[in-house]
Formats: sequence, structure tokens, C-alpha cells
Amino acid sequence: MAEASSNLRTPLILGDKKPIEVSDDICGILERKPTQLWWAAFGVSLFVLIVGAIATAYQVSTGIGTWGLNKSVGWAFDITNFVFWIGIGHAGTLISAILFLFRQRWRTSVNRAAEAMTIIAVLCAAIFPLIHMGRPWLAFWPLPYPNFRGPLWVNFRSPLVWDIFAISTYFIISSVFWYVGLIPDLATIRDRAKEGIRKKIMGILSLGWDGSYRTWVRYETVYLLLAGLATPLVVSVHTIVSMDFATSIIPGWHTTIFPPYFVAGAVFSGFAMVLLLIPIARKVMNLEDYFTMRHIDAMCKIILLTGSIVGLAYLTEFFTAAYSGSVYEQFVFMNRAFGPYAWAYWIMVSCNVISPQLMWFKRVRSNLYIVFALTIVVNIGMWFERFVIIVTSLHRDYLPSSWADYTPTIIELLTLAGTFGLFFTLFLLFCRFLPVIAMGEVKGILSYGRSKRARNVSKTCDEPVGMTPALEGEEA
Amino acid sequence: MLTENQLQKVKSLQGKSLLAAIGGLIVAIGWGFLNGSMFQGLLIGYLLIFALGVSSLALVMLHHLCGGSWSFVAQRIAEAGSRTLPFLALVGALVMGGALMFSTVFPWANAEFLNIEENHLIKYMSHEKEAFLNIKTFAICFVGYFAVWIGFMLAFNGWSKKLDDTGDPKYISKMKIWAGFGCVFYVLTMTFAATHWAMSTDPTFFSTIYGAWMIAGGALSMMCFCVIMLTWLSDEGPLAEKVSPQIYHHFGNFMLGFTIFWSYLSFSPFLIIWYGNLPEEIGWYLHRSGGGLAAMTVVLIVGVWFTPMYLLMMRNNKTNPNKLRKIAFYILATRVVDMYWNIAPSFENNHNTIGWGTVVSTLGAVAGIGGLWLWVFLNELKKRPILPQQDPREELMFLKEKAHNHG
Repeated sequence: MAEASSNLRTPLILGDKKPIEVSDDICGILERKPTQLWWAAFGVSLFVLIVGAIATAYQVSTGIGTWGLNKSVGWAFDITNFVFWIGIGHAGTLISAILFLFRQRWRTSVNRAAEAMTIIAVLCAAIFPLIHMGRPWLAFWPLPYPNFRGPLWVNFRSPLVWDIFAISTYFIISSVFWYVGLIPDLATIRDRAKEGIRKKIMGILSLGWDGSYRTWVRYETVYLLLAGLATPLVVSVHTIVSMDFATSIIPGWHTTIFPPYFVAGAVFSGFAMVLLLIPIARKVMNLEDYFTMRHIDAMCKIILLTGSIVGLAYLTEFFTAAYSGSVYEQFVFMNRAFGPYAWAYWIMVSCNVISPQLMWFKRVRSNLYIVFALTIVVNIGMWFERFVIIVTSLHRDYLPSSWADYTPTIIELLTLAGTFGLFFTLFLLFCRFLPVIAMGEVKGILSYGRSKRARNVSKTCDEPVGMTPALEGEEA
Repeated sequence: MLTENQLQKVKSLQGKSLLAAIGGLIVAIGWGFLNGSMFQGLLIGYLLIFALGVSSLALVMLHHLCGGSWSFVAQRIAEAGSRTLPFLALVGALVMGGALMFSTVFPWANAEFLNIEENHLIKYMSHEKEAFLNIKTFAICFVGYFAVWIGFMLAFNGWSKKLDDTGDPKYISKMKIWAGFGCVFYVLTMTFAATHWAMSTDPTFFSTIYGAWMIAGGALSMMCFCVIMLTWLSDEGPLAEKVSPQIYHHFGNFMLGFTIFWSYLSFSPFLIIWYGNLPEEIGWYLHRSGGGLAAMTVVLIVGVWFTPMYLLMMRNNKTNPNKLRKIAFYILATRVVDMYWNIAPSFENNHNTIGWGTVVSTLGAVAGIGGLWLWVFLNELKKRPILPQQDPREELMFLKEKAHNHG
């Protein structure tokens, strides 16, 4: 047996905080003036956003001929970015809904930021199909409503229409879930604020929250119901996005593993994005006691799991193409690995399959710099995954006379950059105006007075070795 | 250890399972031999029972990887299940060896069948897949799959025994590390094994999801089997103290989760293949769309997906052991329908029709192989204490459980 120190798990929130300290820590960020670092980050993000907006205005006014598409590659950068951003959002819903149902209490520190990320990512994703429509002001046309366009009705058999339902439902439920979760915290801000505009706005937004027992009971019921509603959405959205491809008959797209493979890939990339944002937020806002290494360790394990599922899917696709006996399937996969876009394919494989395997090692999971670098690598890999799936399957048609290559134009690159600008601008604004950590929930898992308790217990008990999931080093 | 009463119960069930095995095998082999469906039934029955053994190994590894009180109480049941793998290897060798040599269950292995004029498409596709679908590769892979599974089984059972004897935490970290590798190998080998043993019964068909589909079905069976065993053995003795309604609730949730996951993996390939309507894939579903098989598809939707999902949504059904056991028995029964639907219509005489010959020999094989397996399983279960003896994780797991009950 190892040396006895504690027979309890490592606390989820460090620093032996009292509830009032949590309010001070989290609300304090909103009550102080923003730091120079925040202004610098905001300035850069806003600049990139403006550049993207200019590019968007240009392509909307000129037409999507400004893109690098051609008659064979009719979908490329736009759909790649769309799937990428939708995927990013999945971690938020997974953390807030599925981990809630699974009673993973570590989620309480990260769920708020991840949910905000989900909503912002869906907004970023929505930009691409809107532009691709050519006339975004008619974007309501795919909605099924009685209209004056004669017998023309939306094609309910098209997965693109399913997408509209799936994603709009997802966006609405995610937003409601996020907002409902925010209400008790908004009330805390309201109560702390001095008379003025902040108090007024927060007073309206917190819907008269009084913190009574009855209010909490109703709140918890609504939260549980919304978690139940959001859970199937995590799966359905990327399943339907995968159907955009899988229901076609294009080799490389038409494959039955796509639905679960896309869902796993989405969670994989989403967690990579959360893990990219958390260390930054932790450092910039001094939230080390809330975003602990235990959270990072748990999220690394989810990345490892989902990355391995994605790796298995790549292998299964390759194997099944070889097994299928279909020359078209075989050609697509050989072309992916050894054709003109082989570089993209191998970037994808090395970023998504090989790099997460490093997370088997605890030493890697406990080194914030390596974790941070790996999350960037995974994000790049997952972007390339969508690029590889979309472009390599299209650029070699059945007829060699239709073969074509695709290169993105500067406009497309700037639009992608612009969505990153939008993402970070909105995220920084969120950090400024709303509590990044769910105070109401975190107060329920505080380890207040625990160190004293642990000291008493450790006199009589040995530590159960091997079951402290947090980092031993950190404890020591 | 099991109490005296429980040992008596086990012994009596072993006797009954042997009787069922003899009866079942007489039906499967005798009836099957007369109407030519012997190996068809045996293969379906074998795959159903095999899923219990191999999923037991998966549960053992998952337990060591993730921990948890719910898997702690089932650890010894899963370990005993995993120790049936050598038996399953033997039965598998007999069933599949026989099927390859003496039947058209694996059409690609039967030159006479392929040379019939109307089977030219199967012949062509079998030829295209020759690199993977040939008897030599099949045999080598069969040995390889079982070598991997039995290797992991021996390692985990060995370490678990040593942990019982010594309480040394080094075995826990060893098992945790190897469980990670084990899970990776498990998923890989199952993907290929599903292709070889089940998907290749129709050599014209291919589907990337097939392996995962089989894994999900097996996991569902295993969860149900664990619930049945736990309710049976927790009337007294060590399990009675540990198995709480909360633990059944966890198992019920997993049963619900796997039911939904199985349905998801069943419906999405159908939607994709139906929508694509490509000649090289759609045949598999067309063979399942006519005759009584269309009705059986409805049974799958209503009986295998909706009914258990509906029942398992209700908390009371999950925390009440008697109710949960009934649902578990029901799901295990529906697994037979699912496996039959999945494999039997690929056989030439079962296209678009429920071949009652195959149905009877399948039921015989389930009872026969299942009976023998249960005998071996119970024999293994008796050999070790029903709960791990000196696992230092135990206290913490149940501490957490307590917190959940109050939280």
C-alpha cells in the first residue's frame, strides 16, 4: 500500500473555496475592466472578422464564381468549413447533456464555456450554406411553408432539408439549454451589481430568480428535461450531416459507417477545440482552481477514445473498399492515399490517428503545453478530414474526361479566416459579459472544509491506490 | 464465495442446461441434417452464444479501464464468461469448419455451388474477394482472433487471481494499462471476424458498419445476461450486500443505451443503402424484404427496438430487479430474431422467405450450444469467489455509489 494521505478523490475544485469566493472569482472578472491582453486578443479577432466580412460581402455581391469550384468539384471549401464548425459544436452539447445524464460531475467547470462554444460554432457553420445559396436573402426558401411559388414545395427526401431541421432544432435547444443554465448565475450578477444598466439588464434576463427552494426544484427539473432532449440531438445532427454525403452514390461518400463515424469525429474535434480554449481562459482569467488538470485529463481521455474510433473508421473504410470488389471504391481510397491529394490524406491520418495516441501517456496528458499543441494538431487534422472526404471523392469522376483539381481561392481562405475571427470575437465577448463558469453548479461540488476532513480520515485509512484519477503530481 | 444454497442452485441449473444441450443438439443436427439446414442453424446459434463469451472479455477490460461499482459486481461473472472462450474456439472450429466443407453457408468456399450457372454473380464476387475469402486465410484469421482473445483472457484472469491472493495494487495498474490495448485489439479483431464469419455468408454484400453492429448486439446480450445472473445470485451471500437498486439502474441504463445504439446502427445503413439503391448492395436488403421477412422486419422495429426502449425508459423498471430481469430475458430472446434476420436470409434457400427448416435448427442450435456454454460458464463461475477479494478500489467505488444515492 502506498503512503496514506487521503482516502477521497482529488477535489474537483481546488483551493478549498467557500461559495462566496466562487462568486468573487467568477463575477470579479466581469466587474473589473478588461485587461490589455483581452483587448489585444479582441482587436486581432475583430480585425480578422472584418476581413472575412469584406470577403463575404464581395462574394455575395459578385457570386460564387469567386470560389475555386468547377464542374466536377461542386462542393469543396464551403462544405468542409460547414462540417468542421458543426462538428466543433458537438463537445458543448456532449458535455452539457450527455455528461450530465452520466453524472460526470467534473463537467460543471467546463460546461458553460463549451455550450457557448457550441452556439458560436453553429453560427459560424451557418454562414457557409447561406453564402453557397448565392442569394442569401432568399435563405428562407428551403423552409416548408405555404408559398406563392406554385406547386413547388421543398424536397423532403433531400438530406439537405433534413439538415435544416436538424441544425435549427439543435441551435434552438442548445441556446435554451445554455440560457436556462445561466439564469441562477445572472441573478448572482444582478444581486452584486450596483444600480445601473448592468443591474437592469441582468434583472430582466434572470427572470425574477429568487433562489428559493421552489425555484431551484423547477430549475433542476427543466434542466434535466432539456438534457434529455439535447442528448439525441448530439447524435442526430452529425448523423444527418453525414447523410448529406452517404445518401449519394459517390464512391468514398456512400458508406454505411458514416453516421457513427461523423458523430465520433465531431466529438473528437469539439473536445479538441474546448481543450484549446480552456488553457487560454485558465491562464488569462486566473481560473486554475476551476479548470484543473483533472478536467484536462478527463477531456484528453475522451479525445483519445474518439480519435481511436475515427482511426478505426479510416481502417474499416479502407479494408471494406479492398474487400468490396468494387473498382470504384478501391480507386477512391487508393487515390486518397496516393493520388494528387495524398498530402492532405497523410496530414489527416497523422493528425487524427497518430497524434492522439500520445494521450495514452499520463505524462503527456499532464503537460499543458503538449496538450495544447496536440489540440491544435487535432483541429487541423479534423479540418483536413472533411476536405479529404469531400474533395478527393469528387475530383475524380467516373469519366476521366471530367477529372479536375481544386484549389481554394483567396476569397475562400479569407472567409474561413473570417469565421475564426467571428468565433473568437464572440467567445471573447462571452467571457467579458457572462460568467464563464456555472457558479450555481460549481458551488454544489466545492470541497469546502474537505482538507480537514481528509486529514482526519487519513489517520485511520490507507489510500486506495490507483483510483485517484487526478494527477498525483499535482496533489503532491 | 457462493453460499451452499447457491451452489446447489448452480448445480441443478448445470444439469438442466446439459439436458437442454442434448435436446437442442439432437434437433439442430438431426432435423438440420434431414433438411440441409444444419450448419445454417449452427452458425446462427453459435454467433449468438459466441457474442456472450467475447463480450464478457470486453466487459472485463472495460471494467479495468474505467472502474465503477456496477461493473465491480459483475466482474466475476464477466471473467467466468471470458474463460469460456477456449470452449467457444473449439465449437467455432467445428461449426465453421463443417460449414466450410459440407455446406453452402459460406458460398465462396463451395466450388460446386459457384459453378452453377445462375450463381455466376456470387462466383464473380467471390473471385474478386479471393484475397480475403479463402479457406486458408479464414483458418489463419480464426486462429489469430482466438489467440488474441484467449491471450487477453488468460492475462486478465491471471492478474485478477493474483490480486485476490495478494491485494497488490501493481496488478490494478497492469490491468488498467493492458485493458486499453485490449479494447483496441478487441474492436479490430471483432470487425474482421464479423466480416469473415457473418458478412461473408453473402459474398456480394459489403458494409463498413457491419463489425460495429455485431459488437453492439453482443454487448446488449452481455448486459442482459449479467442482469439475469445478478438477480439470480444476489438473493444471499456476498452479492446480496453489494447489489443495490442503483446498480440495477446502471445496468438498465446500459441496456437502454445499447438497445438504442443497436437500432441506430441497424437503421442508418438501411437508410443509406436504400437511398443509394446500388445493385451491389441493395440485394442484401431485397433478400429481407419479401415473404414473412417483411413481417419480421416489423417485429424488429416494434419488438427489438421500440418495446425494450419504451420499457427501459421508465426508472421503476430499471431499479426493480424482477422487472429488469424479465426485460433482460425478453431482450435475449429478441437477439435470436435479430441474428436470424441478419444472417439466415443470405442463405440461398431463405431469400425472401422465412425458412422454417432453418428456424427450427437455429432454435435447436441456440439451446444446444447455449446449454453447453452455460454448463461451462457455471463451472467456471464456481471456481472463484463471486466478488474480487482484495481489490483496493472496492471501497472507493461504493463510496461513490453512496454519494450518488444521496445526491
